[in-house]
Amino acid sequence: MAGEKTGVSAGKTGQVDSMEAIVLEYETALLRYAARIVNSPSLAQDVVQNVFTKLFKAWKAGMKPSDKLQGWLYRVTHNEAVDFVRRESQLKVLHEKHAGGAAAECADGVHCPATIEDRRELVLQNLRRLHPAEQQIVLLRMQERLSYAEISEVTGRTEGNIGCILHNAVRKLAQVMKREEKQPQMNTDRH
Amino acid sequence: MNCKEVQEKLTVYLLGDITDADAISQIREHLEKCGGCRAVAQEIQPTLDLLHDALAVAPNVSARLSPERRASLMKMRPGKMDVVVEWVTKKHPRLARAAVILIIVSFCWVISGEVMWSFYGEKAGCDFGAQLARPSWLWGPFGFFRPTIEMSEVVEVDRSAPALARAPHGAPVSDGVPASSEPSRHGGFWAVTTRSGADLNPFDSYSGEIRKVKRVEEKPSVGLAAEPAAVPQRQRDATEKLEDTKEFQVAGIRPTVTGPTADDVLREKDKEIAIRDEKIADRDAQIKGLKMHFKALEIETRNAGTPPRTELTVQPPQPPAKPSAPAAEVPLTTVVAGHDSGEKEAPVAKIIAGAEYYKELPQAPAAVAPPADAPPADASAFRQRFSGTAGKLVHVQKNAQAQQGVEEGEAVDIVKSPVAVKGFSAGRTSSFRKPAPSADKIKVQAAQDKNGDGYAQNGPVQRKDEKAPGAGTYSRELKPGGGAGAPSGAVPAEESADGAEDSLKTADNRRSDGQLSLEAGAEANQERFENEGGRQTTTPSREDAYEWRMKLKSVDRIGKTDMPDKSAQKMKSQPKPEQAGEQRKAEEKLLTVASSVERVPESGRTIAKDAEKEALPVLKALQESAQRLQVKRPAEEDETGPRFKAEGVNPFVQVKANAFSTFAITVDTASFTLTRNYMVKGFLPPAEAVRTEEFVNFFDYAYRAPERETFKVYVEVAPSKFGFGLDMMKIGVKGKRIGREEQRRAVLTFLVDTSGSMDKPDRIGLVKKSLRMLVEKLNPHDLVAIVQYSSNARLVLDHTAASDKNKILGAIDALQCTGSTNLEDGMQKAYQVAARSFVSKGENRVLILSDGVANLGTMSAEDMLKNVEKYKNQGIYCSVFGVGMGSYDDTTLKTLANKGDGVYAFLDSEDEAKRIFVDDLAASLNTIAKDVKIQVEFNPARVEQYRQLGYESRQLKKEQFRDDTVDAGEVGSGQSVTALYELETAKNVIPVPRDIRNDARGYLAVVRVRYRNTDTGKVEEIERYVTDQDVVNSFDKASPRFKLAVCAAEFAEILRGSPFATGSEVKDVADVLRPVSLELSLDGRVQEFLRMAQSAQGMARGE
Repeated sequence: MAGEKTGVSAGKTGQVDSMEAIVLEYETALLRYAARIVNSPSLAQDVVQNVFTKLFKAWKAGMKPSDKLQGWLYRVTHNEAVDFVRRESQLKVLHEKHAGGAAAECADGVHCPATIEDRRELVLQNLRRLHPAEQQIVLLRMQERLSYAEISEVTGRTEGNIGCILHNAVRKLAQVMKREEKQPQMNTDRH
Repeated sequence: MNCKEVQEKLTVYLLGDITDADAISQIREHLEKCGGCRAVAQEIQPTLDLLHDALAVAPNVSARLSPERRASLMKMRPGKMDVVVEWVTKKHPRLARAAVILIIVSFCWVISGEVMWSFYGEKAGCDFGAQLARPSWLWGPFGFFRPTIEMSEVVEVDRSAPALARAPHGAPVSDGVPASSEPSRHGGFWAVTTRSGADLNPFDSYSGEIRKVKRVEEKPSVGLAAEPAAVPQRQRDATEKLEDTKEFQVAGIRPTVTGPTADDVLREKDKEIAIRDEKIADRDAQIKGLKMHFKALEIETRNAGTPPRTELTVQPPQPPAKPSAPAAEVPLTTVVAGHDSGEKEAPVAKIIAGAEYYKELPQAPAAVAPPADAPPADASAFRQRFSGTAGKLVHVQKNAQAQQGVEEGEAVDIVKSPVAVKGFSAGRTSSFRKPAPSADKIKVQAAQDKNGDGYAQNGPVQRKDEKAPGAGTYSRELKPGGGAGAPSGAVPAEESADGAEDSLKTADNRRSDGQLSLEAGAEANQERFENEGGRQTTTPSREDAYEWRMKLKSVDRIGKTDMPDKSAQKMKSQPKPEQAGEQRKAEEKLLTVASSVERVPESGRTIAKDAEKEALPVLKALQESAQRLQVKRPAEEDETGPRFKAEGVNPFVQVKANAFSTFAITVDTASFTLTRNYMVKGFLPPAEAVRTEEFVNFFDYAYRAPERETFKVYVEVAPSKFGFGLDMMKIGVKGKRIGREEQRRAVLTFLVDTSGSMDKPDRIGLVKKSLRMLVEKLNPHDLVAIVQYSSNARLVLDHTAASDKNKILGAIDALQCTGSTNLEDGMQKAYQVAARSFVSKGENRVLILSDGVANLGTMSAEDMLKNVEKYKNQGIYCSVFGVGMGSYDDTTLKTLANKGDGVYAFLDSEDEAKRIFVDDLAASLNTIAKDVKIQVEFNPARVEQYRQLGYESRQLKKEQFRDDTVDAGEVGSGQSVTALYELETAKNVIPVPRDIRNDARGYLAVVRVRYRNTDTGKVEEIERYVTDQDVVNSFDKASPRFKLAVCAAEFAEILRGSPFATGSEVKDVADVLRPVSLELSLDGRVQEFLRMAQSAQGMARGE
């Protein structure tokens, strides 16, 4: 991987410091991002470690971070996380589907998410069931608060396209949530 | 913009990400017009908000990489050497190239040396071991010579080969050349290699003969070789010196001993060797010896020179065990060469150059060659020797009370008769806004009209000056004009006494003598209304609810629950002439009223026909109504009937009209206890006796007491179980706890009612028990005084320290009941006593224990209250504890406690007394805050309308919240207050971007608590926002305490006939409560509540 690709370029100052600085600067965001996708603290750690490993393998002495680094890191983190999810998916997907089934039984009033916390958890679960590209955009915009231009850089999509995907993703989520929590009594959250 | 374009940008718009003002206004306009898009936006928004909130919560992952991972990553960073290498390669390519070339050249140098060595070495018969031992890389192609450099070891050479002596030694024995020799004690020779590379001319030494020498030396070393490392440095030095001389004395000179060390080492070796040697076969030795001997002889002869002038110290070896060898014969003292010289007498071999010497060696191999069956010891010795050299190479993380809405607002004076009430109420369907249940409720009512009473009168009957009040407040007041203002004045207290106990019997009698009592009741009722001007007001919007409520009471009271039936019973049992007359009058009046029903048309409609047809049922209903209303008035025959005041029920309020709900808090629980007492006796309590807030506050909601703040507000919102489509908001305000050491000194003045009415075990008996419990609980320095009052007040015990328990208990036991009730006198006396012992900063309090009625005294209730208030302002408070039933005057007692800033509780049992006097003592006596008011401001954007459950008598105006002169409730240490609101949340709001929305509709309501801190005397105010965080979207998932509060409120609402509880039955409450009681199985009050709800259910069915 060349420097331009990784978003690092040659620089004079100590790369050792800059490497540590990069890890310090981005690890929290990447861990947060990865954790949303893989839904496991340790897996998220693995993902992020892999991302940095990739970065440092491509690291040449004297390199320093360029402005494209963030985009690259998010992209690689997303790909790594999605790979992890796919790799571990067999059991996990089954498990989640099972969980999804339980959520679908909400009509009985027993499995319904009651507290705001439960509903948040439910929406996150559903988010994980969206297409990776949708997850990626929703997370980048709503969690990481990246601008549309930055998201465009990470995903390689046009800003208009991103708006569409984001809307579709949110709408799908809204529909799934509506289906899963059939709570006619609940009014407080209708707005 | 069309729908498609808008929808594509909808999410982005809702996220507030569109910066273009035109685009934003276009989308907003479109959303206002297009229902479809709005629907989509409304569908998305909650999810978007949810997602937004969900993602705002950090995922369950540490913010940093784990240390191990970080460490492994950091290992990837280039080290210092890498930096140098990079610097060199990038900045100085030439240098790098030169270095590479240098490396290649050196590599070639070494390789070539190896190659050459191996080539020639092989030829020379040198084994690989020897080759490894030698730092050949230094020499490169000239590596042959090196062997000579390190050669300086002492080796013993076969004893039988004297001349050979100069051969071996050293490890790979290499090319060592014996520099000197001397016979060992085995008969062999010590030989030291003394060759230094410097001494040699590489080229000279390059000869085939050297190779031969190696071969020769290897062999004899086996079994004989000494450890190279064992050779003392000194020895080597000596050897070097010797080298310097370049002379080797070989024979004829007995070596000089130069150091003991060397000697010892050698001596040791000798011993070892000696032992090993013995194992060597004689024959071998002989053969070798002979051969070597001969070779040596040859060399000797050829180089016959001077013997080495060595100072090498060699201990004379012991005589060999096997003397068979020829050497045995040689004198042990002779030097190597001297072996021969024994005969030749010091043939001196002067070796000047290695070349010459090497030349001699070739012949030795043959002679020293080990025997084919050489012992293992020999092999290990061989390995040891190599390990010496090889070793060096080997080294690894909530109404305006409607202004009393009614205000008598035209307070529909229904006065005339209950009929009016009935007709009035039946005629209207309501415009009241209880959201969902109205349809159901009407049906239920219709069904009851037909079936329940057979009273199917529809349409308005009679109505007087009814006016539809704007404010939707429903209020009803049935109350005797004054405390003692009832038609008949004072009645001997003794008469009043038996009311309660006979009540059950009364109920049964009632059934058979129902008619009489009904009439009497009706008449009484009429009189009361006429004389007293009792009012009954209602607003149209509450009619159906009102009727339902009346019905509920008639149903409940007639048969079994009519509590004050004692009046009826009294009439029956001891009919007085005038009473009978009154009865007849009442009956006539009733009939008149009934007929008037036919005569009064209204609204162009008449119900005459209907009424005629159903005259009987109507009459029956009238009677029922009369009877029912009778319930609410004090029995004239018995002055001591319980008196309650109905406060009405708070209506729904539109948030847009009034977003503020302000009320003074109360921690009283008397209503619940009173109800419980009624129910224990088998009746449901009069509706006026039920106050929702006191029901709710009776229970413990387990709020955590704040540690520093005076109050903490807890809010929980969940769908209401009994109001379809409504949410219930439970607001809990918990006060801090004051530790015992912080408790103020209590100066208590007990004002005990000892009138004749008190002389019952459940009255004075309970009072005495309660006092005893309280005294036990007091701190020793607290003061207790007891004033008893009946016809007159008397000081029984002046203030005495609680530590003097016997004195206090004695005074308590001495209390005797007799006479009438002169509360006025009693209070004056008690306050005098209290004022006399006033302790500043202490808790000065007058505690009234009474069955609640005053029948003597000239002071009006108002004056009395003023008096209480006056003392309160001076710091003497008043708490009231009610006991017994019958003559109970709830209203007066409650007002007294309110004015006196004290607690109002009803003691119905020892348990309750214990709860109040023991468990809640600190709270009852230590007020942490006064004039506590709560104001709930609802957000119009999220709440359509609200209704507060209970607190009707405590409502304040919005402005009064911050008016600190307004008297409000007090809260004691660790006490909590719970308020419930029914909410209807707003719907169909056009979605707007989140950022704009946050401030406008982020919260449901704001709860503000304002109070005067008792400690500091300052007014403080706290507020808490109610957000979605406090919302639980399913009743089932709400906390058990929330469910308990909802059940307590609903039970109270049903008992007091609230229109909002229409359709609900106590059975429903019991059903909801059952699981809750299981969850809160340890809370005795909850269990008791469940039993009450279940028994109430049974009572209702009985009718």
